[in-house]
Amino acid sequence: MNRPGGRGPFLSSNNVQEVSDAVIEEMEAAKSHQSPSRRAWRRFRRNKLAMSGLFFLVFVVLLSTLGPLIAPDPLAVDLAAVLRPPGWEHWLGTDQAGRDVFARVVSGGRVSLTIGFASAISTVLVGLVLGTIAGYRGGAFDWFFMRLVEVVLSFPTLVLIIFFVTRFGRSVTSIVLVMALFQWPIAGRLVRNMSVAVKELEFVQAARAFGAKGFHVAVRHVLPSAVGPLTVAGTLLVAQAILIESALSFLGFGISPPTATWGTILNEAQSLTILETMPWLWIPAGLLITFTVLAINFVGDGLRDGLDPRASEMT
Amino acid sequence: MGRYVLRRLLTSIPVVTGIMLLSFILVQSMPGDPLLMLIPPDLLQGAEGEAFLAAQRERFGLDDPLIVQFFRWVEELFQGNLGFSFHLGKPVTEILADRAGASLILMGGSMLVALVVAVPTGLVAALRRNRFFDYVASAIGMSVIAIPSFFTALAVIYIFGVKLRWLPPGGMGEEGIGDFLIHAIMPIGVLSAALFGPYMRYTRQSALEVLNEPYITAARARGTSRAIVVGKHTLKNAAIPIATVTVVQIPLLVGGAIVIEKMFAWPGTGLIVFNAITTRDFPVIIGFTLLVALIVVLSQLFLDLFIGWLDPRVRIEGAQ
Repeated sequence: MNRPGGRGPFLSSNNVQEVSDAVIEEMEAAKSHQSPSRRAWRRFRRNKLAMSGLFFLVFVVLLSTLGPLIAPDPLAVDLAAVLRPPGWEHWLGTDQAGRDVFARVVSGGRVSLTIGFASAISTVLVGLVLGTIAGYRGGAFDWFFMRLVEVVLSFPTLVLIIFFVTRFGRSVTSIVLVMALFQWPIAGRLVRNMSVAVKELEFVQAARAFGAKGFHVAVRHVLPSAVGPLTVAGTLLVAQAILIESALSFLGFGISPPTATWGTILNEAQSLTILETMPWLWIPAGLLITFTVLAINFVGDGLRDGLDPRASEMT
Repeated sequence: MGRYVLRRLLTSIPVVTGIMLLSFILVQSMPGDPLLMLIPPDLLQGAEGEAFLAAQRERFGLDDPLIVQFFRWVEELFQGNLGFSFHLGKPVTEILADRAGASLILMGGSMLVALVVAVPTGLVAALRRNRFFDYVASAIGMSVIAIPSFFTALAVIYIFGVKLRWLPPGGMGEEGIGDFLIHAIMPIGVLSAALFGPYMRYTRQSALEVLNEPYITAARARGTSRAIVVGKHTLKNAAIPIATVTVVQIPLLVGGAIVIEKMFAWPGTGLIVFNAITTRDFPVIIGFTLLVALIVVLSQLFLDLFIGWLDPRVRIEGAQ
């Protein structure tokens, strides 16, 4: 399949051009003593999908942080203007209670994004702490940790998350904590495998030989190598958390009304009449979820390629 | 092989124990009296009911240490007793068993459709890496991961159920196989679309890994035809990771099926669980998650044994 000009999967002519460009750029970057993170950023910038994902994400974050300042009150009921189609006064129309849909979409974005980022960060933190200890300490703790990962991964987490949220309150904090409680295994196992691999490397052995204590070695030498993969995993967790929150709220088990999130907006639009005659009630929130998740996934892929170019050569 | 089977069986024991422990903790965290979940409610009427309850409390030893109670609970579990629904007054096992068929059809059908579409797509994408087909396939794969399935469901109900009126918007169809198939198109279509993304990406990646192996180059060098290299050598070796990902995805599939069953009024266990959550019928929810977890662990076990049977390298790995 490596025939010149062949249609094989390995090296087509434009591929050769791309690869050699990348190699030259790498060599120049190495010569100019750029730090690894700067080089990663360089590679990230070259990735068009990742960059457009980043721009869209910045746009959505700005929209949901600044949007509520210019939009009307998302909870203001106006029974004189119910179910209005989009127009100058209400950019995306109004819902059954006469509330401004644009205002609800942007303030809903605030809640959905908060839940997405906060639960990804707390999930990563749980995984980081448990995974580092398990990988570095090894032994019984590690065995126990790996079995726990398997146990949690066997459960249908969506149902468990719903169970706990209905049991312990439908607030943003409780959703974030419950997601961290059930989503940590994949990030945790990633960190654990990293620290198992890294702790055998010479520089870690050297640090130990110089008498560095376990905690110091774990934090100073083992953790930094996990930062890259963990950033990627964390990015994808944000997307996942946004999807889970929207499913939760859509089913009516998430954030309680009247607070708007992208999921609750869709939940309130579940009727055949609305589906048929009032698309402004459900299409904007659905599209925002989709494009935000897509953008985050693009950024995650770009980060992975940027941080570990060798891994992306394979795929 | 015998030693491998034994070793693999032994590693499942702590996981199964862990699943039961976690479920027991969930049972303990439930509000209300645990006895009421074990006794059919019709035995608890009137004054004799009170006396009966007290006698049972004595008999079940609810003041015993938790560990004793745990073992008793496990014993009941092995006899198929998952407790009683708060609201329907029937055993959880019976409620779930009644509806399991519909859910299995939905999930099995979606898995099958997704595999039939995703595996060839991923394979061709790997062979045409960084070409037009690959980009389109990857773009579709990423989009279906990003679109929440309830949004897809709303969209297809709107287009095919309401606007065009081609397909019924809900239900399972009781009048013969044709009626059933017409009802199944949308739910299975939407659920399999959600599975297409991960299946396709996984197939593509494992095919690329196999294509980089020296034995593929060697087969090509020997003049083996492209069809045989792809169909036999590549697909056969990529099949194991693909099978693994389908099993690993089961818990997510179960979550997705709940949403789909709710959207399309598909009468499966997902709908039961949805109703159980709205009525806070905790025994049903816990029984369901426990069953799913056990099924996942068992499927993983069987898959691993099967892989071990296929691939001798797996048997030796970790034997030291």
